[in-house]
Amino acid sequence: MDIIESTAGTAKVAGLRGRLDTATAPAAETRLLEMLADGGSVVVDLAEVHYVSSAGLRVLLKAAKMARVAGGGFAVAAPQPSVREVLEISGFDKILEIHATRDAAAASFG
Amino acid sequence: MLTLDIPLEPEGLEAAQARIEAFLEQGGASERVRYKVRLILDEMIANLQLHGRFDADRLARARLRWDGAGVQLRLEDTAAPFDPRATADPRSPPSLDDDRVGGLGLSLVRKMAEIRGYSRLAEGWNQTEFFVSDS
Repeated sequence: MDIIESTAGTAKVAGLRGRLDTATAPAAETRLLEMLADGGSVVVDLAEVHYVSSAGLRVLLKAAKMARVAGGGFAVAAPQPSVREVLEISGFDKILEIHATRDAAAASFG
Repeated sequence: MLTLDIPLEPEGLEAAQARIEAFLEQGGASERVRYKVRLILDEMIANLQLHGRFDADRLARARLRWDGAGVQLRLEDTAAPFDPRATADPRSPPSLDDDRVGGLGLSLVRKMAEIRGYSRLAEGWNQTEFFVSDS
């Protein structure tokens, strides 16, 4: 799992690449929580993620909670169809902000 | 048909997953089916690693058969008896107000596959049968 960091508007973007699963979740979680710690807004770009397991879903949930506690924003962008299906059947599409592109996700923070 | 031992540690599990992926791809299974099978194995093995109680050797093995319409997956392990059909689903949908996200993996498994049977074999193995449809 690689994490490529960039910005879109005022938001930080974490572009994940690879699988988000038991093996990669701890490092992804650590970095995302660091990015959220200052209360800013973060977009997780999933365009290059082709697999998410429950361990990956927990990372996204923890990040969303951290954003709320820190007073920032958190959104998910560009999930591939198979990843979107997992987000939907788990009900995570109801609690996470999911957008088609990273720019749309960044714009959602206003 | 593919039969293989599943090591209960991350590197060994990934090697097993790669063999299964290659077997299913060679047979013409869709990317969606391959995703589901990977996820079921990931979640079941993670469950064993976190919650499995073993009195003897920590062993697991899988047998897969692809018939063009779906995958029959038989997963066996030497942990204490556990019937995945017998556990309650977590509350759904999840919430940002609720820290209890336990059971998420098993819930995903139930939505990705039909659990067709569970047996406790005389030799002390759990045997769970899954069917993963290509639809």
